[in-house]
Amino acid sequence: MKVRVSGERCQGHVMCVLACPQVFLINDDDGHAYVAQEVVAKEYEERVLLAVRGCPEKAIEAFEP
Amino acid sequence: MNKSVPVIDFDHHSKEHTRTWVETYRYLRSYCPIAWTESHGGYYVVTRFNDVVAVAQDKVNFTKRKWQDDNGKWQGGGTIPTISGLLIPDDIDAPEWKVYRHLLNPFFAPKVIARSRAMAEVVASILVDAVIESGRVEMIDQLASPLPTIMTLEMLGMPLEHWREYAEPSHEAVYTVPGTPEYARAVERLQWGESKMGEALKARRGNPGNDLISHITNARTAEGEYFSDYELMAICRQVIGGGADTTTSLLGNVFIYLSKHPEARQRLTEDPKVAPYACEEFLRFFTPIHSSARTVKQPLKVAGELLDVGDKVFMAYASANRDENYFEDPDSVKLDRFPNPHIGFGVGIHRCLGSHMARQSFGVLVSEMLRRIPDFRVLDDQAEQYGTTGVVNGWVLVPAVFTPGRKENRDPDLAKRLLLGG
Repeated sequence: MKVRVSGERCQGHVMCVLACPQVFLINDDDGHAYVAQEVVAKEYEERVLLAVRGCPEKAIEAFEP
Repeated sequence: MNKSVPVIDFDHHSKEHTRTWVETYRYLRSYCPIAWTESHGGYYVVTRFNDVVAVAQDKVNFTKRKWQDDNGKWQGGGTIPTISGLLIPDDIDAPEWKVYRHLLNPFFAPKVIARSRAMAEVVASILVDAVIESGRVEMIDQLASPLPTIMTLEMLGMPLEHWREYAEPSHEAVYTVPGTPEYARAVERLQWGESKMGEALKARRGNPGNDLISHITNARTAEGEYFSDYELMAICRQVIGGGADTTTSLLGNVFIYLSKHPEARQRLTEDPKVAPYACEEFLRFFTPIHSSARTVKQPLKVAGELLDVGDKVFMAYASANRDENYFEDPDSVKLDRFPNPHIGFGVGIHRCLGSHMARQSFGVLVSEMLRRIPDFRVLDDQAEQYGTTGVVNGWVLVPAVFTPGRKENRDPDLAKRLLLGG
């Protein structure tokens, strides 16, 4: 699984960090989320899908490459 | 007004709305997701989650810009009716909005806010000290209002001992209705704080400290100029307005909820890991900022209805947060609800800049209460809700009783400065 955060849509609600802090990080300049790497470790896949559903801006996309 | 959608008898500032909003919004979501009301000059009411989010995220077809017309009357903005006084960045559209968010972001990032947690904990301890021996507390004036206001003044670099002069009129300005004498009085009281902040903006130019006022008064635009006095004051007004009232409203609702639900109180006490999820759930359930508004800039369709330029749209955040197509069992509080894509902090580019500070103040004060006065009981018959809750859903008075305890005296000097004993 791969995951991306849309920099255009994200407004820094940080709900994704609540879902999976191992995958989603916060940029201290603007408070917006980013991922350190697109490829999601197997153990975090379920949490990443929760983050997708938990984002009020629909800014997160998870997909099978 | 020639509108093809159902015309409803709806006024978000009415007393009836405070009593019936849950049922009214449920009905509207089911039967008329876009409706028209003639109140306050006429506006559309949008209630479903997807429609509210679509309007809030649409910076092409909608504007939030606020301006004064030739007669000096304020127009536009994020409230119906439009309230006086510019807020920056709230009343500014993209792309200019970004200049101000960029200016303010360094003070509001999660890591930066976390640096003030230790101080928030000391202030919370001082606030509880001031009441703990009496067994009685008015939870708004003595707990929920001072903490967020004091932390906001600390960020701005304004004297903490003046917190009441900022907190009280900030609450009054949101629980009275624009156009009434009570509202005018609140706005007049707010002038005092604005004049003090104006003096600080002048005094700190070229002579900065580490505070937000120093930062903005010495910052330069892309053209190398200072921001204007008008812009700087609009930023200060925004920080006070956002900082002093909203968290207070959330806390007031949650104290009442915890008083009525001992099982929730017990769960939060025994399992602190649930606290961050509970905070989000309370934001969803009570939606302290109950609504916002936009004006149509270009004709477009919303929920099937064609809107014209200049039409006002009322976005019911509180309704979106109870949308049964989006949240399972939306009228129940589930402390560990997740995922929880609520829009309690708004949505789109104007998402609450102070959200991390709000979460921190909320978490600190609730855990201090559970630790030191865990058996508090709100005196429901003496609690008083805001006179209007359609914009901010809060409480004027929340009196409570509890078993008295002991002071901690963690910082007597700060307690003295805050005029809270010592």
